[in-house]
Amino acid sequence: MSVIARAELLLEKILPASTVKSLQNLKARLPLRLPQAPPVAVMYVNDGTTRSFVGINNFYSFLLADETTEAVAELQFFAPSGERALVHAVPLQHFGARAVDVAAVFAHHGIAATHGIVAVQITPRHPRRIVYRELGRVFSQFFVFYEGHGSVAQVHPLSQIGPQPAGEPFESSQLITTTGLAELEVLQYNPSTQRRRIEHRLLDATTRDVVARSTVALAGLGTCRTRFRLADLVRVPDQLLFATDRLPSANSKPMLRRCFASGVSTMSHA
Amino acid sequence: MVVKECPVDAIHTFQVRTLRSLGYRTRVVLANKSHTRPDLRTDYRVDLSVYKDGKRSDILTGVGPLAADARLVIECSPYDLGEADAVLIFHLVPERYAGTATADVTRDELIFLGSIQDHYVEYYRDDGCAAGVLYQTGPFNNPRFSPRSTTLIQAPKFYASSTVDSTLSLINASADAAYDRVAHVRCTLVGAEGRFTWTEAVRPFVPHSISMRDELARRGVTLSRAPAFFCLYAASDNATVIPLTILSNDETGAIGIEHSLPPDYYAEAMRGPARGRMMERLGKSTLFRERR
Repeated sequence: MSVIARAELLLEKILPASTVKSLQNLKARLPLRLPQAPPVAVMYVNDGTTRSFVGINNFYSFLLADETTEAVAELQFFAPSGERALVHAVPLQHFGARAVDVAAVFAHHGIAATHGIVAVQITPRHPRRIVYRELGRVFSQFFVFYEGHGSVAQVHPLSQIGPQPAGEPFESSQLITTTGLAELEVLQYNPSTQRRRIEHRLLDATTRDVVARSTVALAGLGTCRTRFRLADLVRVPDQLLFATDRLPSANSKPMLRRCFASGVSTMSHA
Repeated sequence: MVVKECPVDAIHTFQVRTLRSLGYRTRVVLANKSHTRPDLRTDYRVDLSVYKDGKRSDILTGVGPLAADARLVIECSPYDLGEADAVLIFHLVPERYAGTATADVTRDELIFLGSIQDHYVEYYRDDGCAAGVLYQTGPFNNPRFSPRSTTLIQAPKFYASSTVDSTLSLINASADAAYDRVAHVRCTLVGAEGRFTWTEAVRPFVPHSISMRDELARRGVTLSRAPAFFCLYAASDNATVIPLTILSNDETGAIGIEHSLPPDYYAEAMRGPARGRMMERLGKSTLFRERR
């Protein structure tokens, strides 16, 4: 990490948030390198049952259509332990888009991780061009498509990897109806670089009583999967809520996978 | 800044479509997290407008109270009758404005009430299989709130195979039942199999579904069991439409739903005038021109 980057981190800790935001806006207008947020992240699953495809596009072309932009997407894949497993670069033409088949890339490189964080940074070939300053700070958004055994799902990322404080307590706005539901799986990622201990909870949606809980320890940049089998619950309410005692970082909400008795599953952000 | 004479039924809405066309029933979970800012804390009276074939077939007042720090579950089957999918608009009317047609509301309050929580729409079958998505809808297509209504979509998330389809769902609606603008949405699909451009006419209050597999078949693309990937770029300069992507598996009927991300999620400055310039540049670019 450069001296400037360290100084920025220090200032972010000691200055009020509004001042930090003002300074970031000022920096965005200075003739510096394109201000990029840290790589944007979500989870991939590659466990032999579920495959993941990371869909990326050259968003600079869409935002600034009259500037021909070629870009490079750098995908970092992390193992559940938080260890970086692979860095994979993908060139993107003007308006170009690609899907990275995680199973194929991992097979090619002999990587065995069954799930983990995928973090993406998309950078123009010439990031110092003045035209990009109109954008302000940029975020390399993407989508992941999951497919397996007749089930399909898709999510967008919610977080960025890197040093960051722990998040707040969280209760999802989803209502989980238990009809036909066999299992609820929580796919949790920790985009921060610090170890986090998180309690996942299922609540009775009517009383908000906790009906199940599970504590997990996540390494920095690590991931875990918590399974709540409904058959294991002492009492199964008609509807459940999902909550955590805190999130690993701001907005690093997990994905909730509903596994039904019929054999299919669905998944979305909590 | 105060927005004068806001229609109170437009202050905070949640707009959804039903999905009987894919064999699913609909339920909605409205949330109220206004308690997180005590000065703007409010309970709501929830009204519902039901649109069938583009016409408002029903307006229900007080389908439920929604207190601060609470949820309201609404089973939508009673409003989802007939062959075609419906558009449902839930009007969350702050209790202090209930009974009046309009109110003067600060922009701060409008933004806070609409953005402090997501609402949840879930589609489900009798066997329990259910998939949903959390999102927000603003006071779209209403000049009282915004002089320009536009749509910008970049969605690298369309997959199609012999067993999987991706449907782009568009809702062109407003809290104002008199809204009658047909949205013209230019679309370009970019993928290894080619680049395809066309324009969709999206009628007001009619759920609009575009099967990407049908679009590809129409252009002679043959699909295998391996999913083919496409990025959709789309723009409308005359209306704000709500885009959702619905993935579906033919063999199981399972679905997966996600919303898209607006330009300011990619670049912080891409709002207001910058968004307008973005729209102008796209209009002049080759992205939405047919290749010959």
